[in-house]
Amino acid sequence: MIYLSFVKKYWKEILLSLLLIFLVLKSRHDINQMRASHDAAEQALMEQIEGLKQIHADELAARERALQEYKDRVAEIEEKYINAQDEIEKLSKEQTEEFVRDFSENKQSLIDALTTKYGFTYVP
Amino acid sequence: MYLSLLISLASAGEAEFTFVDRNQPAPFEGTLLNPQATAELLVLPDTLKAECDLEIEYQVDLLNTERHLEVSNLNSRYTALNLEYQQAVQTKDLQIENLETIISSNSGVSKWVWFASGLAAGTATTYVAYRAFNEQ
Repeated sequence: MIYLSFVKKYWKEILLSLLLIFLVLKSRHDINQMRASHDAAEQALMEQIEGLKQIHADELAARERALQEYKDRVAEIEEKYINAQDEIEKLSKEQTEEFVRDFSENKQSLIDALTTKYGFTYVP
Repeated sequence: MYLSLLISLASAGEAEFTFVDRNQPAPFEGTLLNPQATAELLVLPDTLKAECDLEIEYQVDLLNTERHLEVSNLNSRYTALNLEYQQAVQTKDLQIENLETIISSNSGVSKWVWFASGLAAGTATTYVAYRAFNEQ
């Protein structure tokens, strides 16, 4: 009876207090939800940053591999080029020596070569 | 050592030439080449052609290798950008999903719960007020 009379007397204050409590609880609930959302977003962004770091590292590794392949290939090409130059020089020297020999041993071969290569006419 | 050098020079010979005039023993005036010069002249076109072909092949190989490197780097960049894009989309999807979860917790079925609760609270308040004022 005491409680009922108290409630009857202060029902407006009690109602206001209840509404205030409800408002505070609802606000806290909303803030907690926003915080959870923010945490989830932050976690997702952190994961994205980690992923980006990994992607960047992978890209750098791929570029490094490509650069190493390029260097190896260039070294191979240069070696092949130098070997081919040596081969040409060697062949050229051998052919020159052969033509020098032909001068005393096989003049006809020399005449044929001059005629063929330059279109000159031989006059004995 | 000096002797061996002289022998090698003599065997290799130097390419020499001179001009022959009308009165010298030759059918016509012209240029006289020694065997070494003649041989070198005969070999020269083939040598130059071989060297030219070799140089072209060398330069083409170098350019191909450089292009290959550029293509590899561009492929790496493309792959990285593609992955970055996919990851960004994935992150955004996750954020959207989280936000949708929050929104759905404040709407949908719970909206009716809020409505019913409000109705019940309003009715109860009205009833209590009615009883309180009636008793006064």
